[in-house]
Amino acid sequence: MNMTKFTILALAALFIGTSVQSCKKSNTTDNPDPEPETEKTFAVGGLVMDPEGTYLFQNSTLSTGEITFLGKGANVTSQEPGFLAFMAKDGYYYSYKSAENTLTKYKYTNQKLETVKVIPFVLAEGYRYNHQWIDNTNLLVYGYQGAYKILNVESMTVTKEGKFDLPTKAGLTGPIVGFAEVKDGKIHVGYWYGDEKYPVAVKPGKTNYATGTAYFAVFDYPAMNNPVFSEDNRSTSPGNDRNGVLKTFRYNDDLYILTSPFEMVAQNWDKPHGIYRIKKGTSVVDPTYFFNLSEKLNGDPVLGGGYAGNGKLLIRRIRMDKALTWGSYGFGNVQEFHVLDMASGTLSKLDLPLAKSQPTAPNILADEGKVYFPVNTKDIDGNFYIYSYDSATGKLERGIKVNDVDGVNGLFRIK
Amino acid sequence: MKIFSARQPYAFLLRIISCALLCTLCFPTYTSGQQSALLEKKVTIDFEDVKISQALQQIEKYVQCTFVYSPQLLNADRSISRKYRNEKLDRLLTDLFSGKKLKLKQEGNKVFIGLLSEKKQRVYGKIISAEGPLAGVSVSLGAMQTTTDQRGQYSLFASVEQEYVLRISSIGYKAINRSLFLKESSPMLINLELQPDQQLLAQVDVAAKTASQVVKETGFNVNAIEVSKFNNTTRDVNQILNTTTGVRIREYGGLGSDFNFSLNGLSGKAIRFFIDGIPMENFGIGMNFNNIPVNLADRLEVYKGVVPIELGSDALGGGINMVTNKGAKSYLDASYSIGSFNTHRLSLNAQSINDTTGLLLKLTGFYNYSDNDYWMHSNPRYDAAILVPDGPDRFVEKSVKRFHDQYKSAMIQGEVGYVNRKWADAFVLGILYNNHYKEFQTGQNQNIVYGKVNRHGDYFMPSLRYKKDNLILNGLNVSAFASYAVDKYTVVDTSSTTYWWDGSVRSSQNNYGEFGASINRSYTNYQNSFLLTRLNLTYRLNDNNQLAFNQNYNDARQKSDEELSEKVFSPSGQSKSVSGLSWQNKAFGNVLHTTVFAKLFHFRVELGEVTGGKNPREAQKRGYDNFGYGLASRYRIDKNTGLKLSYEHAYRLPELVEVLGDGVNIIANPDIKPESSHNLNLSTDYIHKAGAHFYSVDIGGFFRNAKDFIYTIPAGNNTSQFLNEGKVIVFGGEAELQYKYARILEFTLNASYQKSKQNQKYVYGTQTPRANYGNMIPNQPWLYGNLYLSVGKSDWLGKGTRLQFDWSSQYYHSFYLTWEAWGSTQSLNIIPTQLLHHAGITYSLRDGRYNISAECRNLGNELAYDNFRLQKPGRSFNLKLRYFIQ
Repeated sequence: MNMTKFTILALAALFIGTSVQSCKKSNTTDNPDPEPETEKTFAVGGLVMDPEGTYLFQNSTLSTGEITFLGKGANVTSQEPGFLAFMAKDGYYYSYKSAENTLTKYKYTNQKLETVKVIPFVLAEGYRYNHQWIDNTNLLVYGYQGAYKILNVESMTVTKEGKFDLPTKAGLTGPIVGFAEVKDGKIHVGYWYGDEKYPVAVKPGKTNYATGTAYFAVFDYPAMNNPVFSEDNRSTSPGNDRNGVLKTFRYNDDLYILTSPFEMVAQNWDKPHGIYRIKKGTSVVDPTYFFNLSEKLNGDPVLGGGYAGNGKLLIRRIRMDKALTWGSYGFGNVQEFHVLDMASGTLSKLDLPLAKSQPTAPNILADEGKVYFPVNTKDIDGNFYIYSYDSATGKLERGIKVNDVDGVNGLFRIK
Repeated sequence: MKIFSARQPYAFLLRIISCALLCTLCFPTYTSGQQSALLEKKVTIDFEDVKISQALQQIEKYVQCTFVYSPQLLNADRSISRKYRNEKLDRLLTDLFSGKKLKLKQEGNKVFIGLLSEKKQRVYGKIISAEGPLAGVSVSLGAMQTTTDQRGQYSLFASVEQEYVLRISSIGYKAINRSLFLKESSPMLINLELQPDQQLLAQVDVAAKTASQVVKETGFNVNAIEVSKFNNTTRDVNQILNTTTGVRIREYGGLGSDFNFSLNGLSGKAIRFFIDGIPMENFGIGMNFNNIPVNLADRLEVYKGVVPIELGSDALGGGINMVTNKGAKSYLDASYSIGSFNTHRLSLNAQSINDTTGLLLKLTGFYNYSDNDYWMHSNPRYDAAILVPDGPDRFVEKSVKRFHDQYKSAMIQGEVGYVNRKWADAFVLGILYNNHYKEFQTGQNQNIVYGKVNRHGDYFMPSLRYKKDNLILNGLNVSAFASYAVDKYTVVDTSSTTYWWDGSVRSSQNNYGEFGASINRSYTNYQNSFLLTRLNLTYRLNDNNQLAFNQNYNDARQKSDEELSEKVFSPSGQSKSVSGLSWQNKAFGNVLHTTVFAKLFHFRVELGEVTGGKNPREAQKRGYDNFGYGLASRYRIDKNTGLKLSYEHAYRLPELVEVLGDGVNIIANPDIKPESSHNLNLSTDYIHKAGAHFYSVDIGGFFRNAKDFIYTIPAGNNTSQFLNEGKVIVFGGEAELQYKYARILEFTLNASYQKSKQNQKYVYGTQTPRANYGNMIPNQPWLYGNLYLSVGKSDWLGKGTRLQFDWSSQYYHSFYLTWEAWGSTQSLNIIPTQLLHHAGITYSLRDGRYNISAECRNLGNELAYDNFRLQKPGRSFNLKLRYFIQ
């Protein structure tokens, strides 16, 4: 011994070292294929859990075929704003990141989001925010405490900014803005207040945060003055504070507003989820109209949906009898889909098994008379599809199959 | 009944093991007895079928002596036939009475033949050199052999009423031979000091085993690092640990920054840290391994996966123990360094022991200050741009200096007590005070900039330690420790102004602080108190077996309030008790060392009543009892080579906040389970010494199967809850090569490889398959290595001087931030490869009393990231002055 043994051990170490080196991923060549030109472009936002990875897959349709995120699509984990809540228009993605105070415009190129421009975007209390496309070039982004900015997305310049002039209430937190929408020369704002004392709810064992009143203000636009205030206590939390999740829709040119007392948003266990209306030409909430969704759904909350057109609204119901823990909201089979016929007021359950997805994610897309939504029933029948509901025919169709992700948190029409 | 059947494949192996065991048990304790001229006399004689008593008569005539013995006791009526040619008398007699252990003694021409007593007595003591205790020194007493432990202590048992030669030897030191007569009445204490063999030392610096080597030769998969060779550098403890195999420390910034410590792929709370066996969490938030200067440590022990009971904690993935005790000697080690980023570091480590009275006075302290104002460079290639506004709607990329990252910390510890007294080997009372101030420059990545957030606090801990070997019983060693600590600190996020990277104002008059989200501006005070008691007992059953018992009791209480909102958080407390029992065995003549251990964890938490807020509830209590166990074993293949196997079923108990929440933002989860893991290590080590050359090779592999990770999920508006989820398999290998030549050259090269596999099949609480089941977990360094080279020359620039040049390189292979298999390759975020070089030169005078060092870290000024979008400091220069005397 023992130089021989030493040599053998040294060689063994060297061998292990070189073997280890050879284990690294060899497929590092870039995919040079340009994005195919298609008439329409949709994007599916996929989620892989723990540690979380988020991905976008662009496709010409959501109605047929099959997609996988394995080795495909753009990894957007470091670019997405949270819950894949991109704002998309005309081939571009926009991501506002409140902690970084930036707004970035991206283009999907070669299965990657390339930065077109990033600008400073300081939106006070912008941790929760929402947006509305005022038109094709002007994007309204507003924080949940009322700060707003209007961005010209062609020049990437802020053209207007300020804070909605909403009243504060002594002893309460807020106002907390649930929606803002420019319509007919007005900007409609819905808001609510929180009570840090968390008063005991009527529902046993629960406490409320949102007070039991929904508030509305209507300002002249773009002057942002002449406010008209109204309130209603049939529900609370008009709109919601999750970007891209359905808040309002227009039917017969009236503005309809969904409420969200749900504990993931405003936390009021005693008020129902429903729909308010502000009729065209008025500036106050319509006292003659409130569609009580919860009443027809065994008291359950509703969060997310899409207005398909033709008076048909698709909504997502959370089956509280099935949602026993907080984790159930995202990963339990607790979601039912219903269609509300606005004309008749009838609510029809779609013929689907109970599904799962993040109800606070912008994953229901209304587009050209249809509403697309993910139905993940992997643990029931092994399926994970994007379904669509066609408002013209009333037909429910199973569309593109989604493989290799834990959830779809985003559905976007890119162009 | 046949025990072994030839058909059974393990029969052969069992036979060998059984024979070896029998040999071990039956091996006669050979003693030459009392040597004398008569007994040395050579005899040629034949016996043919004669009684032993007759044979003895013939011998008496032959050598002119008289035998005195008891015929009955020795059974001298037996007949024997023997032929002896020039056989020494003592050997002849031993053979004549074959099967009996004889005690031979000569007085005049009388030779007393008796039976050897089976009673044994202990010879023990401590071997030191001028530099302190010597570990690994060879100690032999007749045929009995052992080596000193890391405290220089040895213990041997030998038959009583005999004379022996005690031989102490260690390469590099002059051997000592001392005769002694071992009486039955009392154990014998022999402390000795070895003198260096100057002739040999001139060439060889690898003589006695260091304490670290001794630790390495236990069955535990442990890296033991001698810190003394880094004493002239400006490194902190983390920077040294980061160069050892299996360890990857991902720092968030410069001096005093937060860090994530990963050991064989497990990190966070899975890894426990200790100073002299005291859990680091008991030292408060202001002290950790990245602010403790190297001069305070004597040795670092990195236990991977399997942790000895002495550390008495719930360590899921391993533990790091910093040993500060430099032995029972007087010394003074004081240093000051100044460096880039306005960094100043002072350290003091002094001890005085009065050999006559045993009075010990010890003073330890450090002071760190740094502006940490290193340059941040824009690096869009890795999605780590530094953006500064240029007008209202435009950013420019530029390099900026960090402007809010100042760090200050100071610690002073005084100890007074007695050592080496009859009633105590050590009885020491200590008081430790620590103060810190830390600014935060970034959030979780450098795109989130803070300009005012800071934390400051202070900490106070009195302690008492006691140690006594051979208390009441021979072989019973006791050590005990008790401390009570109060840690007060405040997290300040009161700024209504926020900032860009260039320090300009981003926004003002905010309701929320810089932490952002929806957290209001806050000034939060925390007060934690810790009570710790620890008892270690070891009892040496015999030379080959030792029992050890450890009991740790830790009680922690927390109070906190937020001044701006006048919010008072619910007071809380938790107590944790860990009891451990181990059996250490040496078998087959010291060839196989095995430690088998079991740990009992008892954990209790309680939370006061929460009357208001969103999660009201009554006062709650919760308790856990878990049982862990393991084994650590080393088989010595030959004198140079060993094979190690260790295993532990380890637990990490939930912490208070994880079980009961905080009464405000974190919801209780009384059903939460402890994290647990099966940890397995297999390794081999090889050492070869040839004159002044020293070679060593360590190669090992490991496997971890961990489950029920405790992690937090959002559970409402600004609230969260801890849950169990996740199963992870981690596996990998590591290797280290070392070569030394005298005190002239040292070269170390190591590499670590590890992979973590997601092993959770279903989304928690559902039957929904996880998409990434079986995939490698991202954002984990998986390949890294270190090189260390030092070249030095003593007495070159004058007697007592030494000039030494050090070079170290660190390589970290790139890794993906997110799941490698998902998304197009070109869109994946990468934490880039790092190859960092550090160099230093030290000049010492008067045998190391005065030292001056210049050091450059990150010589190539590389843009280095341990974490995604968190740039580390660039090139820095440091100058260190050190005075050391003992």
